[in-house]
Amino acid sequence: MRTQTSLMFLGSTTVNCAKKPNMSKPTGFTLVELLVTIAIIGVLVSLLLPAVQAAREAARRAQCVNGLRQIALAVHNHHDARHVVPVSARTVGLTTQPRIAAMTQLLPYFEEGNLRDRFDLSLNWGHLNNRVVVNTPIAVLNCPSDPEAADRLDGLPELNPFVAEIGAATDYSPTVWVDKRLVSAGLVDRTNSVEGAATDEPGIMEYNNPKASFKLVTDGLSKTILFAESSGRPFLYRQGQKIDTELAVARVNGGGWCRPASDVIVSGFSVDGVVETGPCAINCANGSDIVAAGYPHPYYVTYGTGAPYAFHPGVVNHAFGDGSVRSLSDSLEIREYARLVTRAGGEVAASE
Amino acid sequence: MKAFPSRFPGRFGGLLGLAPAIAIATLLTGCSDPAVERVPTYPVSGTLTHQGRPATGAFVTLHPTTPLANAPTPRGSVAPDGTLRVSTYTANDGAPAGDYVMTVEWYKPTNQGGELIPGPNVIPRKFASPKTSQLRVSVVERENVIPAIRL
Repeated sequence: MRTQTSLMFLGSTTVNCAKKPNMSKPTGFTLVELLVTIAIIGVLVSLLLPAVQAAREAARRAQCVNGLRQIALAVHNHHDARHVVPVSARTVGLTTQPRIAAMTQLLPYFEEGNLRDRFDLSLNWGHLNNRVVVNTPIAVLNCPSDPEAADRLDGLPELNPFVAEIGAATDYSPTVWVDKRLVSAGLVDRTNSVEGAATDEPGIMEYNNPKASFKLVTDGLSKTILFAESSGRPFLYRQGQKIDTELAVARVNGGGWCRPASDVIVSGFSVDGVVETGPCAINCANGSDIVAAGYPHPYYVTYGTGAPYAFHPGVVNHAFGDGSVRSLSDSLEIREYARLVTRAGGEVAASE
Repeated sequence: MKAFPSRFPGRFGGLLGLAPAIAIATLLTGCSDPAVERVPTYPVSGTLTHQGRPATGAFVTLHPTTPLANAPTPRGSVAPDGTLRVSTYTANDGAPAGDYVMTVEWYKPTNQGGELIPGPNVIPRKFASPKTSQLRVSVVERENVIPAIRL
């Protein structure tokens, strides 16, 4: 009605047209229009946000891959210079020999020679004289996808209560053995020994073997894992969940780059990541809880309990013996994974 | 008589209500994962002692007499109090119903120079192989308790 009258008004006069142009047509948005706009913006943001986050994670992963590649190349440089791969030496028993991690031997080969020069190889990693060196975080060894602080510290495993004061963390560790119990359970293939004489199946950087070299890797360097990501240690993570913020309540034995115990013994986990020795190879847990098991561990004793684990969606990056870095899917079963870890299994590994 | 006539006629208004629904539908698609088929499992527990002491850390495997489809081999480790609980998929979930041959290995840590190191298998070797082990376990569709094992 009002429209009609105003039209009639406009039609009848020409003088007041400029003065009252919008009497009948109000400016501004209606409620519905506002809601529509908000809804459209909401849709766009909901599409964009995950994409942006995924892009950021992809960038972090690329940096992670780069770190692993640096370490793998460092192992090659070490091999060129010394004709052996660096291995963690864990002399046990009646000896004054110190425990030195492979990573410590590797330092000069990825431009951390100054740290290596300050490290006294005649003393244990936990010795006070080595404290400044081992507490130095190394950027190459830290994966940016890891939510834990790059300068977090590990500690002496035998201390009770545990004190995190020694050993800056690494997110990458060599896969040194496949747990022999997996062979007993038939979860992985027996490769290196006759039945009944169970030994752990060695990876490239086998624990305590100063003669380990690329010559022993008969499965092929491009088909054998050298380093795996094991992120978040010494904090315990299962299926993306941090079990406890207090290391004295739950933790993995391992994590510091200076510690031989940071080397990964592949044991697999139950699907929920709680029990070691199981079908899940990757990303179920970043290790076995040493607090629950008690130190020394009833099976691993003083060896580490870390496991392949990363904070990338669905994959864990692995450096292979040939220096390549590949992402292995967390759907990979322990049998296939063990085939990639053993250096001389003689098995045909699946192309992942 | 409308005080504030909409710029969009009524028939568009219905479509606008759909916008959030479309947004939610977009977010939800592609997130589902086909569930892995699991065989139902039934709790299995027991105790294991070696020469009268709890065999803490001993590793027990239940080898099925007929192969299990879609299930890893049920296995378990002995707890500090000597109790044993079997896991198949998740922690302490037991084992699928059926007959099993149990093998036992215990790589008991040994003391060397005041320090514990991983030791050899201290359980007689016949218990390490499913061909020679005489330990039989039947898992039925209820809570299973294995009679105490003394080795």
